[in-house]
Order: sequence, then C-alpha cells, then structure tokens
Amino acid sequence: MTLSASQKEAIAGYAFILPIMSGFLLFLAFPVVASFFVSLADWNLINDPEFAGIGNYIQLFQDPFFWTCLKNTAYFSLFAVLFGMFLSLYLANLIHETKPKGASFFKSSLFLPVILSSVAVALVWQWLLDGQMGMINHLLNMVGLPSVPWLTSPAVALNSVILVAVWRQIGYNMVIFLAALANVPDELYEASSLDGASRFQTFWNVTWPLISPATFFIAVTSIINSFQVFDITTILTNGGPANSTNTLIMMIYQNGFQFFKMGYASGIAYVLFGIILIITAIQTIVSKRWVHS
Amino acid sequence: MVKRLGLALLLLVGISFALSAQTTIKYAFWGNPDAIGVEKDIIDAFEESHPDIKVTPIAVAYGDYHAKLQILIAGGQAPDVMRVDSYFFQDFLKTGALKDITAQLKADKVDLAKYYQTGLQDSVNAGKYYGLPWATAPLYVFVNTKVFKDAGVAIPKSNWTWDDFVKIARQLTKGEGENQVSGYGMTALEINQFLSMVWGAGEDLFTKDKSKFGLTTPGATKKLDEIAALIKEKTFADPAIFTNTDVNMRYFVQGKIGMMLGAASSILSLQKSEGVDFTLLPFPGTAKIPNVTISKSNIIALYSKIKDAKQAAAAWEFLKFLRAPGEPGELLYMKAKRMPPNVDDLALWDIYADSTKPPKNVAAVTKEINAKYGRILPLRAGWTEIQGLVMPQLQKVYAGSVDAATAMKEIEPQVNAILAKK
Repeated sequence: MTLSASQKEAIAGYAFILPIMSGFLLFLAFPVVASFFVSLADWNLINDPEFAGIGNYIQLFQDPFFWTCLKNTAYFSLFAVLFGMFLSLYLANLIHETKPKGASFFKSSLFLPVILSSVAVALVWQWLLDGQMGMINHLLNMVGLPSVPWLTSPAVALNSVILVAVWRQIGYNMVIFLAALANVPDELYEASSLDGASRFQTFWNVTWPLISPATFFIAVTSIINSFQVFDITTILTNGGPANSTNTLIMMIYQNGFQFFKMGYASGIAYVLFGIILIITAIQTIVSKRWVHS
Repeated sequence: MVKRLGLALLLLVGISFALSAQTTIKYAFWGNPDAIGVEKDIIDAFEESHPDIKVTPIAVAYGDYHAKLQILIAGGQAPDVMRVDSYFFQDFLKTGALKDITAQLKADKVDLAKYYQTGLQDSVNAGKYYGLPWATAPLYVFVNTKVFKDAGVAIPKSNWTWDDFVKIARQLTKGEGENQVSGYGMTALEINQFLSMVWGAGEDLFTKDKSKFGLTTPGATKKLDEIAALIKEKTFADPAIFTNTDVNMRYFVQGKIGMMLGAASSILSLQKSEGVDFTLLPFPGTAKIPNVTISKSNIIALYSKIKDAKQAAAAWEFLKFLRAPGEPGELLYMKAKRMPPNVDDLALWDIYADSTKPPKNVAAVTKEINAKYGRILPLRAGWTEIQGLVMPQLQKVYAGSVDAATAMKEIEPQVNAILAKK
C-alpha cells in the first residue's frame, strides 16, 4: 500500500503531536473526566467508591463552610484583581511616560516578586506582618501608630493576604501593560495634544482603548489565578483565624487529602470550575463592548 | 580458564540464590531529612542482624504522609510496615488496611506491660491490637521557672488543680504591650490544646459512646467561655498570635508566657536554647478528676493484606525490632533522640534528654502522668475533619465575637453527621 503525500504528511503531523497529546490525555483530560465521576461518589481512596448521585453537590450547597470559603475567595479575587490591575497600570504608565533614569532597575525590582518562590514570599511576609515582633508594626509604632493584628484578626487577615498577593502579581501585570503601552502610536498622542486634551482625557480616550486587549488578558488570567489562590493563604494563615482566609482551593485540599473525602473534594472542584467558566464567559461576552480589536 | 569460568558461574548462581532467598519489605514513615537519616540507620542495623530481609524505605514529609499512604494502598503499592498518626488510626482501621496483631503479640510473648499503658491504648480497638506504640507523648505543662521566680510564685506540685492553675496564671500576668507577660499560652489550632480543661469540668468532646458531639453541654460551654474570659483579661495570651507551636515556644523562651503545653520533642528544642530553666507538670485537673493530661501515641502497624507468608513474617520481625520492649529499636531511637521512650525506663530518658540540663523531672513526671494523670484522646474516624469544624468556631469564642454555646450549637449537626457516618 502506497500512501499519498498528504497522508504521509498527516501521519507525520500526528506523530509530532503524539507526545504532547499523550500527556494531555493521560494527565489532564482523563483526570478531569474521572474526577467528575468521582464527584458522584463517596470515596476514601482505599475502599470501593459508593455511588452517591448528586449527594455531594447537595451537601456542598448546604455546607456553611463552603459559603464561607466562596465568600472569602470572591472577596480576595475582587480586591486582589482590582488593586493588582490598578497599581500595575499606574506604575507602568508612570514608567512609560516619565522614562526615569534606571527604568530597568525599577522594572526588575517590581518584577522580582514574580520569580520568587511563593512559599519563601509568604514566609518573609509572615515575619514582616507578625503582630508582636513584625517590622511593619514596629515601623507603625515608631511613628506613634498602634499595632495592627495583620494575620491574627478575622477582620484584617484576608486584607493582609490580598496585600501580599497584589505585591506579588504587580510586576507581571506591569510588564504586560508596559508592552501594550509601547505599542500605542505616538501620532495619536501628538494629535490628542494638538486637540488640547488633558492628561486624563488622553489616557481615557487614547491609551485605555488601545491597551484594552492587554487589560482584558490580565483581567481574565488574574481572576482565574485569584480563584485558585492556595499557597499564600496556606503559608500565611493556613485559612485562619476563624476560617477568615480559607478559600475554595484550600477546602478542596482539606477534604481530599486531610479528610479523605475524594468525592466531596471533586464536587467542590467542579463547582469552582463552573464558577470560573461562567465568569470567563461573561468577561468574554462583555469584552466585545470595550476591548479594542 | 575453564576453571575460572566455572568458579564465576558458581559465584553468580550463589549470589542469585542468596538474592532470591532475601525477602523485601516496604516501610513507610514520615519525617524531615534528619529523621529519614535516623530511620535509615535503624534499617541498616536491622538488615545487618537479618541478612535475609531487605527493607525498602518510603519516606514522606508529614503534611503529605497520610494522603500518600492512602494512595499507595489504593494503588496496590501498600507498604508492609507503616507508621500511622493516632489522629488517623481509626480512619485507616475502618478501611481494613491494618492487621490485627493480637495473636502474634501473644505467640511471641511481647511484654505489653512494659509500655506506658496510656500510650498502648491508642493502638487498641475492641480489645484487639493493631500496632505497637511508635512514640508515647504526654502533653506536659512546661513551667518557665524564671517567670515564676520573678513573680515570687512557688512551683506547684503535680497534684495541683485548675483553681491553683488559674490563680498562679493570674499572679504571673503583668505588663502592657511589648512588656506583656501572660500566665499561660496555648495555640487555638488543635483540640488537644483545650480538651484537658473541658475534661476537668467533667465534660468531653463526645458523649461516652462517641456517637454525639459533647461540647454543647452547659458544663462544656461554661468552661470554654471561662477560657475566653481568661484570654480577654490577658491571663492567657491571645491564642491568635500563636500561629504554630514554634511561636508558642519563642514566647516561652523570651519569658512572655509563664506556662505552655508541649510534648517531649519540645524538651529537646528548649535544651538547645541557652539559659532556659524550666520544669514539667501534669495538666491540672480537680481533686475528683485528676487525669486530664493528654497522652497520645502514634502507631506503627502492619498492612493487613500481605499475601506472601514469608513477607508477612519479615514485616512482623521488623515491627518487633523497631518497637517491641527490649528490642534494639528502642535504644537506637533514643540514641538518635528521635522519640521519647515508650517504656518506663529511666536509663532511656537519660539517653533521650540531656540529664545535665533542665528539666530534671521528665522521667518522674512522665511516670506520674502514665500512672495517675494521663488520659487518651477520644479518637474517632473523622477526627481531623471534626477538628477542622471545632477549632475555627473556638477561635471566634476566644476572640470574643460569639459565646461558646452559640458557636458549638452551630456546628453540632455537622459533627454529629460525621460521627454518624464514620
């Protein structure tokens, strides 16, 4: 049997994608599908799974802890993404407009937290934010301000986690914004200047629309990442105090690997997947109105 | 040439015969790199005395250990000998993964009377033994003698009561802000940090048959509210600042708390800190209920479904070597300072802790605890899940944002559901 040139080409193509597809099917697609079936069962990993139908999902929606975690995750996502985007855009714009001496130094310094291990970052911040011996409270006391229970008060702890998360992500967002800002044609700024536009008007009518694809990209990826926050919360507060920093991913981990409730953990994972899917879909639909193409 | 070839062949046959005669068993345990080194040394010692058995170690960090153990068992790769934290003992027992070794203990005349009896109970279920104690660890009250001396308070005796404890803690409490000294410091992360106090009030975490949540009774909630009040008046340091036991220890070393709870491993840590003078006491109960000091023992067990008889026998030999009284494991673990003694033997305590440094009463107080003041936790399958429900509620009580009765009532249905299911 002789193969035609197009058939040979097709076989070669499949051969090329075989390694990555095998990995994708085995380590991603299969677990994703399998975990859906696990979510319909009670399973402790050792004994045979017992079919539970949608029992895990019903239990989940009746579980006050789930709502606490969902509320915490939503709060974290909202403020971490908003502050993270606003500050990174502000810094990128500042560097882009003023082009300060040592701009590379500022960019590198702000990007440094991105490449650091999140565990190391969280441990250092844990020391800085320590209520009794932390440097931040020490500095506050030096200027006559009272100590803040950064990690020990249920009312404050989640905000402290947001602070650390924003500090960590700002550099990454800023680099993307800087690339987008560099692509805005200078003629548009010149035209805007000739028309007598103020700095804010120039930003709002020229810069903002033209960097909107980058803004959209950052918004989508930041929201997805923020819904999956785990490492920083685990190290900084381990979900406490009084569950004030417990998130959905932590709840999945606790149920799956501490309480051995694989079915329940898979159910939470699917609900989280659904939430992220809906938010991303809404963002994509709404983006058609404001993202410059 | 032919002779040499023949000799080489004979040698090869001999080696392969020796290898085929060797039984390989897998041993799972948790630990940091230092601890793994200790286990490897003990394995080497075992293999030297048992050349027909080879032990393959499976070492995992504690945080991931029990999940990994579940996965190994589920994947048909179960270790033959495995360490299990007593918090998870009932969970593993329920899966049928742990072997009943009662008959083997009897046949080999393992002297169970030599163990600290409180520790032994953690490996028993319905009168049957499912392992040997890996490390029996009472939770002592660590007393910072300098803080006591500065406050002019005498060190109490072992038979002290809750009322004595509160009175002393108040006497030790002084100062404001950075100079604040509190009588007692505890974390709000684990049930074992407060349960002794509830026991002293005649209450418990569960009802007697362990089928219902016990912290909703008026006696229990009154005690929890009393603890919250002691925190509010700063007699107890705010548990929120103790994000882990290391922080607790730091405060103790710095003299910012006069007393704290700690296990035997904390003795070794404190002995490394220069100039820390401390002594140990049982947790204070009442005249009627003196046994409120938590004594917890992790377990080392055998897998229940080892098919090969030779392998099962090898696993049992290794288990005995590790933890049976009088076997080499006890001494090897002591020399490596890996765990406190499981048996009442002063000589072993002298090897474990530096007897030239404080505390001077570790062996004596351990003996007292095991004889009179000790009590084991009411461990149940789902313990960690219940702890995950109770502790955040208790953190709210300690923070003064809710009273104990309301907080405990809120989680009662969920705890009871876990108890009913497990």
